[in-house]
Amino acid sequence: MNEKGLRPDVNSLDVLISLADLYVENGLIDEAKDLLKTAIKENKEEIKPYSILSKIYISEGEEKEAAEILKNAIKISPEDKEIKKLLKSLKLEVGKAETKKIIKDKKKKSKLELGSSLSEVLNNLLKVKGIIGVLVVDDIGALIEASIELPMERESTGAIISSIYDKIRFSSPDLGLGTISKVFFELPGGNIIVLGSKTLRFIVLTTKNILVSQLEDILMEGFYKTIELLGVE
Amino acid sequence: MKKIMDEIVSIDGVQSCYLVDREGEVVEYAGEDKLDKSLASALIAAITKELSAQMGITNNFSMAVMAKEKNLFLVTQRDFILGVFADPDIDTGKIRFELRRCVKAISEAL
Repeated sequence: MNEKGLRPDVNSLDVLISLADLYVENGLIDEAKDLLKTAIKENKEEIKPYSILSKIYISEGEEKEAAEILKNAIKISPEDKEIKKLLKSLKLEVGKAETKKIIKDKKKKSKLELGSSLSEVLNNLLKVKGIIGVLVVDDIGALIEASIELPMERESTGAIISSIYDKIRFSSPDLGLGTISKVFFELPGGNIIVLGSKTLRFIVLTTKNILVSQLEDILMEGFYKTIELLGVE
Repeated sequence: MKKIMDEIVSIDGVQSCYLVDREGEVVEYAGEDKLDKSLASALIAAITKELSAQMGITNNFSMAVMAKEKNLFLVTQRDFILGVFADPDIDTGKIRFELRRCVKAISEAL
């Protein structure tokens, strides 16, 4: 109430907050935001409008705006548990969102035009940092195509890796593994990743210090492109 | 040794853990599994032997098999092989890191 008697003070915090709640309930989000901003302006030391406004921003996925509001609130009331909790959860969400963005950007950057022939696909994969060789062999270990930076015997390398892969595949039912999707060997001189289908072994040689998870998408893309180009299962 | 093995199976998603000698005999075992232990250990040793023989690498290598029903992680050292069966959706980075740590502890204990 104001000095004029029974007429409510339009800037009264409780009235503004109740009105803002009403706006939110009726989907008038922008109006609610404006009202809460007014409430903050008129009641700078009160925490409640900060908290409600930040929640609205969070619910709309506007984490940066919410963070700004909460940072201002924490300056006013450093020990407020709800603000601290909101800020903490927001930091995690912002962190997650940023991580997702980084991954998305990296994927975008690493998006490689693989080409329209098998040799093009393998040669293009060889341009990816960390990959030093790609071999495609059939289910009996016969070499179909290879692109390798190192001076090594292509036929025998493909056959050897394929035979180890088959040993694992044949042991799979007894070990209760089910269908194998990928085998990863970490050897003293480097890594080998084998992606297998019913009739194909897609073998990738990498340098030792490479994060295999970063290659995952491009390797899968190369593998499926190879299957498509060869027209096999 | 059993304590180290129990530590491995306490990792979320790990089903069972086998410590196997290079001949395929079970040295220690932890966890729940419906597998025949002797058969599993023999296969673990056979896979490792195949890799060693074909590539001429005798020790200090590891292998991860990603499959539909479960994943198998193998770490081969001079005297033993550590085999771990885990859920297919397990965090492979975390499990490989933990295995490296445990292999070191097992080597010291042996």
